[in-house]
Amino acid sequence: MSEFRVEQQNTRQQRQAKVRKNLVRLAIGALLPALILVIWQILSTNGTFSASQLPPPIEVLQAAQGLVERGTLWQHLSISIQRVFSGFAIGAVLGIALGSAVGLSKTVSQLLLPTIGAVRAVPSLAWVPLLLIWMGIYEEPKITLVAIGAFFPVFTTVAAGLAAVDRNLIEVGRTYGLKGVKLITKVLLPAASPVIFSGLRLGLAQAWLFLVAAELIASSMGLGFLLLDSQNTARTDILFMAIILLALLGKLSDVVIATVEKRALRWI
Amino acid sequence: MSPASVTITEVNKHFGKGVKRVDVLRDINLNIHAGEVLVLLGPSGCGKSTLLRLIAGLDSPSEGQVAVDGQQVSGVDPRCGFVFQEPRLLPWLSLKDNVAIGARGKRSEREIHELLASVGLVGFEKHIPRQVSGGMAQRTALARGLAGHPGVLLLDEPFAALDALTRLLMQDLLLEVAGATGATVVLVTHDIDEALHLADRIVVLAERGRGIDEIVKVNHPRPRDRSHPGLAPLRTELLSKFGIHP
Ligand SMILES: Nc1ncnc2c1ncn2[C@@H]1O[C@H](COP(=O)(O)OP(=O)(O)O)[C@@H](O)[C@H]1O
Ligand SMILES: [Mg+2]
Repeated sequence: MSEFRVEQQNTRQQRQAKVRKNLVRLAIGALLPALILVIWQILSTNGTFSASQLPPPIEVLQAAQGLVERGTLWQHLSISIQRVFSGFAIGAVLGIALGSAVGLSKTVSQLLLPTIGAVRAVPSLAWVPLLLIWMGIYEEPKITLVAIGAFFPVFTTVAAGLAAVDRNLIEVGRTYGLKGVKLITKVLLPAASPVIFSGLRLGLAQAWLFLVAAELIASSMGLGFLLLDSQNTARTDILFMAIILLALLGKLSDVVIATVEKRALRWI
Repeated sequence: MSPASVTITEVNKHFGKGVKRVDVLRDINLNIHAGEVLVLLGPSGCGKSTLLRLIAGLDSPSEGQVAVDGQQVSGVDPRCGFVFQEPRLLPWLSLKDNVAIGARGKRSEREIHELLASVGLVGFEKHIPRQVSGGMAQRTALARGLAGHPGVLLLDEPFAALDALTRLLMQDLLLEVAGATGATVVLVTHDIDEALHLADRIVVLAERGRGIDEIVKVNHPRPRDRSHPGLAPLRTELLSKFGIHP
């Protein structure tokens, strides 16, 4: 009983302490970016670099503002986000499905692993020409490439995570009549969920990587295209803006998964 | 369900094949009466856990038969509840939901609450396993074992990992709750005093693959006084079986 009461008394104080801790963490985390910004400002204005090599931070902001006013920034952003989202969703679902099959069944594992291993050994960008021939130049090949990027980390971690679930917990499930799909959803997947989440986060990072690759190679819109286009037109300010946006979006999407993860894995 | 009997007939169990073959249980014949408390005692590695798993249907005998209430066990048997040496709670579920797993979806919220109350866990229904002590976790496991109203409750060294005082409390709790739900109890232990405190009969297994060494009847009414002088000769006898001569 005492444990329970102590816990309740502490919650308010604990919450305040938590808020304070988070603020401190945020401040410490912001320290380095602030420093980089200062150094950037100095280097771009004291003649070390020319404006076409390193535009000052304010110009990058102005470039962003210009694109916003012309209404194109949002188009580039939204198309990239859509591609990552669709590709990641497809890759993750396939990764979880095939990873589960391989992690749960020796037969499926023996059947699929050699092939999947061989497919993975192909450097992923080698697929691009084939995807273009097969799927044309619109959204399908890009989304497919992103899906390929997201698939492998998810597949590998799910397969390994399920295969490593504590035998004792599986035995508990069996003892109380769980089998088949019920055993998977009630015992195996929850037990493997920490590993699955780390796989999803890796997959998402890969999805962004492959998005840029896809958009650099064949695209007329999106952040990757913006990178290439700004290089061709020598607009270093836009180039920097695109890089910073990619960093922010990558981080933001990771935070979204991390938040879900934290809620789902409170039991750890 | 009401207490069930267990009949073990000519059971052999071996693991592995060829040169790797290990005979663990040989020529086991045992009638466990409905409602009795039977304790399995024996040296480490002699096959006590294996025998329990055969009764639960978690494994099947190489030869011979195991029957619960005269009906042969094949596959995991819903008439058996199991308590392992470790609590083995699912760490992502609340204590209540862990007990519900044992109920196989057949018990109402209220019944599960009552079961948790019977093992002294009122107020902890929503806690998750890592928030409670080892003793509380094992009490939850006991409630889970009983949640399906089993005819037979199987316990594999269930109190071995607990501290001495908690162990004594758990022994009495076991008799209380198993008695209340009416289950035959088959308990594995290596603690002779635990066996003497709980058992109607103590089955002493010989070394691995040598079968049953002896069956000792403990003719003392329960609840038993742990220091009852009448138990002393039995204790001496059992200790000497394990090579200890007080
Ligand atoms: N699944 C298995 N495969 C191979 N050997 C096993 C298996 N389960 C148990 N054994 C062996 O059977 C013997 C008895 O094990 P167990 O029943 O756990 O003994 P106890 O519970 O009496 O200590 C041990 O030698 C153990 O190594
Ligand atoms: Mg054992």
